Amino acid sequence: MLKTYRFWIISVLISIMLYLSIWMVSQYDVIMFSLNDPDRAPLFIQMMLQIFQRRTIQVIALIIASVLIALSTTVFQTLTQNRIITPSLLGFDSIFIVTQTTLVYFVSMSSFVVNPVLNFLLTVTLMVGITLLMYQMILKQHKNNILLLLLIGMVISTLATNYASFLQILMNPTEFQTIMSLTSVSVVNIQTSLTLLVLPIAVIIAIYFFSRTYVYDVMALGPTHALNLGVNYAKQTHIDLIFISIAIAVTTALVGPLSFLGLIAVNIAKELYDKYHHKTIFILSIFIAIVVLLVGQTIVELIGFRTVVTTFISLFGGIYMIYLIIKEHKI
Amino acid sequence: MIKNQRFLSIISLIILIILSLSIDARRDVNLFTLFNLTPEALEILLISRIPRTLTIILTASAISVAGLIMQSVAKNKFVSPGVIGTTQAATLGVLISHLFMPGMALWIQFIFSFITALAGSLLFVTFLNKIQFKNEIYVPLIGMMFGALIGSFSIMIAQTTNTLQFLNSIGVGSFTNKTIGTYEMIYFVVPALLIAVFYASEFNIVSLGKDFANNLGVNYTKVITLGIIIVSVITASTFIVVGPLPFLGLIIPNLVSIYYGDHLKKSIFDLMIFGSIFVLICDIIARSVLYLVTGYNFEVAVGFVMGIIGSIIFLYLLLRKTKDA
Repeated sequence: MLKTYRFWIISVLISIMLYLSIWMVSQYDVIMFSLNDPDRAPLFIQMMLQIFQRRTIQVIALIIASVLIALSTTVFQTLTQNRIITPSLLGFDSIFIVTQTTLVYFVSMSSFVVNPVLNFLLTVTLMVGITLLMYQMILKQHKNNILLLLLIGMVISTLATNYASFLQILMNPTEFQTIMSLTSVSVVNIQTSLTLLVLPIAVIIAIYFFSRTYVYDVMALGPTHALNLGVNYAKQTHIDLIFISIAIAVTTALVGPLSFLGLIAVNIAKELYDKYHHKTIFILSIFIAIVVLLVGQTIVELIGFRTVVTTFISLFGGIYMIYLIIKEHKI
Repeated sequence: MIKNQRFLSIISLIILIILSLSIDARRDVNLFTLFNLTPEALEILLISRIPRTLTIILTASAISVAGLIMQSVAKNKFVSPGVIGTTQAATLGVLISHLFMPGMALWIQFIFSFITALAGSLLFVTFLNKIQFKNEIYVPLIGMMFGALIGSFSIMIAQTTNTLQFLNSIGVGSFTNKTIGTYEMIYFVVPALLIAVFYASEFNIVSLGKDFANNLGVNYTKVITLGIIIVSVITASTFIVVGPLPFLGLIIPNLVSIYYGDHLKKSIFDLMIFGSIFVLICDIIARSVLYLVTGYNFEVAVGFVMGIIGSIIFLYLLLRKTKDA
């Protein structure tokens, strides 16, 4: 196991270095020219440092997103006893788009729209609130049927998308532009202030999940065994779902939807590690998520931003998942 | 009881057809002046309103039937061409034909989207037969993943070729501009519908499973393949003419099987009537809501209205289902 850890730690470091320095490839001529010019060199080095600084913040944001996605997907899969499910399917990105659209349509140009921190807090609160409401209504009535919850989440996300498109038709072009810039969150335009705001939340969630690894090991045996072994299954499920929804809401608002990332990372981790200790799966899946996200973003930058990293990941993630399902012959 | 219901639904269908024929941007040709049949009114009827209403009825019945066939083939009540990726595959076909042969005739787009839709659904059905499911909810989940995969493939192609806007524009269903010259492709669904009616009992038997179907003397593979071809023809031609209509293929068969049972030979016409009523109502709402709200003659795409109404009905179906179980 130590060997695998070492391999993935080295890969993580390499991918961070790659991401930090990939911009130099396309700007090679400019860099060479400026460094050879003695008048420009000091100024230019300062500028390069600035770029590195901005990239470091991006890397931190990406690492936060990977950690949260990997942890919450693992826990969610344990709760559902299933390897092909991710909590992103609950419809977070459409709730995000709906919140932004409604805000711009009804209170355009207020501080909720212009100030990124306020906007972020409001959106995350709403996303968590709506999902909690869904949990309350469905899980209480239908005896913890998380699959039903998923299906309803998908229907609600279609409903929400249609509502948002309807409002977007009624808008004037300026408002529509605002919406487009607000909802196209991606890895490239991460806000510095948000990253610093999210960091403590992410740390708290990660500590919580890591402190509960033994409980998850027991819960993976199934509700009956877990109850027998002294785990309050219903209560634990509820608390976990709250933490999962906070984690996914935060990442969606920070870097946009990354639904397949969790699937790939957790599944590769489970393929690499054939036992069921959550601690190991947590650590491995975090490493894999970071490597996949950073390398994916690096490739996207190398081919000149022709596509977005989320599309890239969902394409390859989808193929990998279907390969896995065919290989296993059952779900 | 059922006879009464059937009578009522036919009456309401006729009322809705007349309503649909009498709404337009031309306010002077309305419900009351329509039947004077002045030459001008007749021209408007023939050029734009009858094609549009015909498109609505054909599309609605075809997509409902396609959803029903898909549900029999996949042996699952929660699937439809829109859920398992057939529609997304048709989108990919239209995108490809747009990229390689821009500005070509509609029927070339039809062939492309038919081929991709066929390939997509065949792939999914063979895939479905390969794996065992613990819970029937996994089938639509896998289907949505499959659809998302095809969708992200199209998005990637569109992003690299700067055709994202085109992709968005074909992504919403709408009955606007269905006049003579743009709606004829919808006639492809008529033979498909006829074959579906003819083979209704076979589809019923196929939904019982492979061994059972073979025992009853039905060629399982042949019927499944036929079903997928019908679904692909319907999906491709309605996609070319109208665009994707969310939830239609999913909720109408479920609603009909709640009220009329699963005997397809008996219920397939009710299915078409029900589907037409639903789409006509959605289309009339889509045509009149902006006029009522803002006073301008604008239309909302019918796909939006249908998405909103359809998802509410689907939520009701889902929650109701689990109460019975």
